[in-house]
Amino acid sequence: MTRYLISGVPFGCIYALVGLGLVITYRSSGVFNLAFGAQAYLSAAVFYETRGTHRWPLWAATLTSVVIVGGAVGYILERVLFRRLRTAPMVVRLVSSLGLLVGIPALIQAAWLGVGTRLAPPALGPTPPDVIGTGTDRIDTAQLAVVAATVLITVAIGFMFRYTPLGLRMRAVVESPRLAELVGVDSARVSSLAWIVSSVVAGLAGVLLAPLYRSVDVFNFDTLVVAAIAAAAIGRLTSLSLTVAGGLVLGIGQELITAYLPLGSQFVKGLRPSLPFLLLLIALLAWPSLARRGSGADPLAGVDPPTATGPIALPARIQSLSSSSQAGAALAVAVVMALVLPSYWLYVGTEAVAMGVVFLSFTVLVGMSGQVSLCQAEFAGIGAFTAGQLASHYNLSVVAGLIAGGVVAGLVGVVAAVPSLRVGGIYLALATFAFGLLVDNLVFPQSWAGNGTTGIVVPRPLIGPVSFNANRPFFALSVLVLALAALLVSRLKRGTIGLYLGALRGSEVAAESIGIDVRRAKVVAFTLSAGVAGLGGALLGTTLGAVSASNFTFFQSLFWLVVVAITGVRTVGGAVAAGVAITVVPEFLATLPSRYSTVAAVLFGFGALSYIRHQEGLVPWASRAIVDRARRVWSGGGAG
Amino acid sequence: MTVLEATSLTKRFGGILALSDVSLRIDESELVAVIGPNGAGKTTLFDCLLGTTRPDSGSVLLDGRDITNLPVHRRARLGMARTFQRVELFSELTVRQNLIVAARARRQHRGLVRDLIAPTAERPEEQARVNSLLSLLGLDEDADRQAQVLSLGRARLVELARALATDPSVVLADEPSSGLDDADRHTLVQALTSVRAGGTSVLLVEHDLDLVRAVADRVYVLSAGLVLTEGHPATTLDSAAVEAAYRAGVDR
Repeated sequence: MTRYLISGVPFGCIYALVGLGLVITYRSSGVFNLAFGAQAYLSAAVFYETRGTHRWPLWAATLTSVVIVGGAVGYILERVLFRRLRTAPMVVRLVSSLGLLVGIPALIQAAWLGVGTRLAPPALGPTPPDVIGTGTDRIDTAQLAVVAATVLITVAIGFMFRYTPLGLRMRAVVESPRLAELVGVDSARVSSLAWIVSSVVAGLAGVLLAPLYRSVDVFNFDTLVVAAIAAAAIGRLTSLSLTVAGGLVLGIGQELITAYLPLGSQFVKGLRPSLPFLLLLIALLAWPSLARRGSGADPLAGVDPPTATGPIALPARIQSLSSSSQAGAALAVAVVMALVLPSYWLYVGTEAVAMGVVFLSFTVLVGMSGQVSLCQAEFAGIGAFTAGQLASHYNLSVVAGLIAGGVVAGLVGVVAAVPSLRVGGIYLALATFAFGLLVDNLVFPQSWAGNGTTGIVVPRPLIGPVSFNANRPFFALSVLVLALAALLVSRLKRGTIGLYLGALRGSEVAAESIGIDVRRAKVVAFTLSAGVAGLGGALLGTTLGAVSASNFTFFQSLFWLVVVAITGVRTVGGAVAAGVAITVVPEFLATLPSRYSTVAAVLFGFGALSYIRHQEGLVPWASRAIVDRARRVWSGGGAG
Repeated sequence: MTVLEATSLTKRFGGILALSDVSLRIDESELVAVIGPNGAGKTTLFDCLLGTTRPDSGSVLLDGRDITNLPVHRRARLGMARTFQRVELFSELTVRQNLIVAARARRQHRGLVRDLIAPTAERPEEQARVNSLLSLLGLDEDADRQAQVLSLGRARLVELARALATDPSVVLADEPSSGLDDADRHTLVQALTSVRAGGTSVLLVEHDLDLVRAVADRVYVLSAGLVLTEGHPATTLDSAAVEAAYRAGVDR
């Protein structure tokens, strides 16, 4: 038992530290800062370089990596970015921090560290750590440092909150920013301090985490954020002490699962990393105080007037003119491509088309209903694996496989819609995230699903006499599928479902009051979205010919949202453009030396910040600018 | 004919008796106001009628049908509409779309299949209804503006128009005049009067006693969860009992 406490508590401490940071920034600035994972990675990297490579003294390396770098990044992010987002819609805040989570580590790798894992990172204390004790009850100095640092930080934060004037002001802002402002507290300044404090804590967590894994690997920091989210959710995003307790429970619980569940089956193996997500899902669904809170529960609601969002609608005739001309142009391009492109680029084009279908699933859910799902990659994966398994075991034809992929994913979407009936806003996003991670860990490793990282083959059986093994006919088939999916989505958007979902995103209570069955509408939105994602995933899988669990991870779920937010999550054109961008940009960058392989992630990650200004997306924004210009020229010509 | 009838509604929150044996009745084409000091139970009564809160005991009948345990959207489809004290518009839709969606939601629920076969933005019967409501409430000029850019006064009128777009038998209006300027208030009074003339009943929760005097056929005075008195506004509002209730509310 002691053994599991000793190995579990340090991890729990680190989860607790980042969880504290999440709660403090969320309460004081309204931003759920997923980028803490990236910030922790940055500090760990700086510490690795200064202490490990250049042998700086411990105090200098710690001061630089944790306090200076960590604090500066937190300050800059708050001043430059998040201060402006205080009253922006939840999706905007979420996408911004997701962009940073993707972009910052990619930038560090491209500009400085290169890809690949750094091994044997230095610890706070002797490196390699000294071991105290013998047998199973031993502890090393790196683990001791984690516990000591966490106790110190927790006491310091507790002391600051309870006994200092700054802490009093922070507590006031956490309690009610509006009231705090009314009694003369500058809540913007307080939030900027809160960002510095929590970023320093996150940096410290990063430095402490690396030795526990014996490596500096981006993946571990993404996992860290997820566990910290679970800890913060256990603390209901308000209570600091419950958050710390939640982190510890998670750390110890993970070790206990390893100890008391028989290893062996693929399922139990997946259960250990799943514990945070299980707890997160349970916490989100079980805390009655989180339930039924929509955007109205935003801590800063009412401080400032909300910023006007969304584009002012174009007159319907011009809108349909521009979208049908876009569709026509896209089809023409596709026909030309099918005729002239060399086989390899046809393959890339097919991938782009398949991703376009996947991105249409975001249009249905995020674009139309305004609800954020962070498990779309899992839906796509379900579609791909369904198509693959059916094709290899039952020789099911390509088209039947696509349809089956969509249907199965849609059915899973019904399950994923359950949280949306209880929670909304950021809590819903987190619940779908947890759901996706559970699928990642428990379902996709199974041989009857994705067969882990080994993957499965997705053959392309004949349809009657027609073979789709060559790239050219398969490209044509894919374009047809995309065209049908686009038609479906644009019809939904302009029809009754689109109206209902538009009403829902404006006000759920008002939607109910005019007779809309809100629960049913949400389930319909989730199901359709999951179905479209599954269709796209099946198409993608059939294009690639072989897929594995690593094609459809939680990271893809986050990354895809970021990409489609840039191009346009509200429109069909934006989704198609996202499919092109996510496949073609890396192809062009592939000519760069391999150390720059993360440049695409840098571009998309920081590109996501364009979403703040252009929530309609860059594609509709640009095409409207063109239409406007054409109209001006036209009317100018008419007058003259 | 009675449109909406509540019988012996009782609701407790912990130790507080928010509603105690409250009964209320609204006839066809009648405009009934509920007034009372803060904390009198007006909001709880409203919530019980609308279905956002379930009463501990008592029943609610709409057109003779027991709706006590129906969810909000089912009541709406049976002909109950409402407006909100804190404005709740579909902010990204245009004013016209706000009304269209209301006209459609009440009548048509099989949207999905129809969307895929033949999507139509607006149907002729919806258009006719929405256009007449827009001009009734003086919203013609705002029809194609996004709801989120409207002033509070305009927004309240859009809410009333949206409620009426569902073609309800009774509209429950929660302080519709708060925040309105004189011109908008005048439009509101006219609209309420013509709504009633058109055969729709209205239940009004209102602090503005002048407005109540101007439009209400009957008034219920609520105090501390009880119906204090009920009757014609001219006789009821000036009674000593009402004054005492309000004074008690102020003193607390």
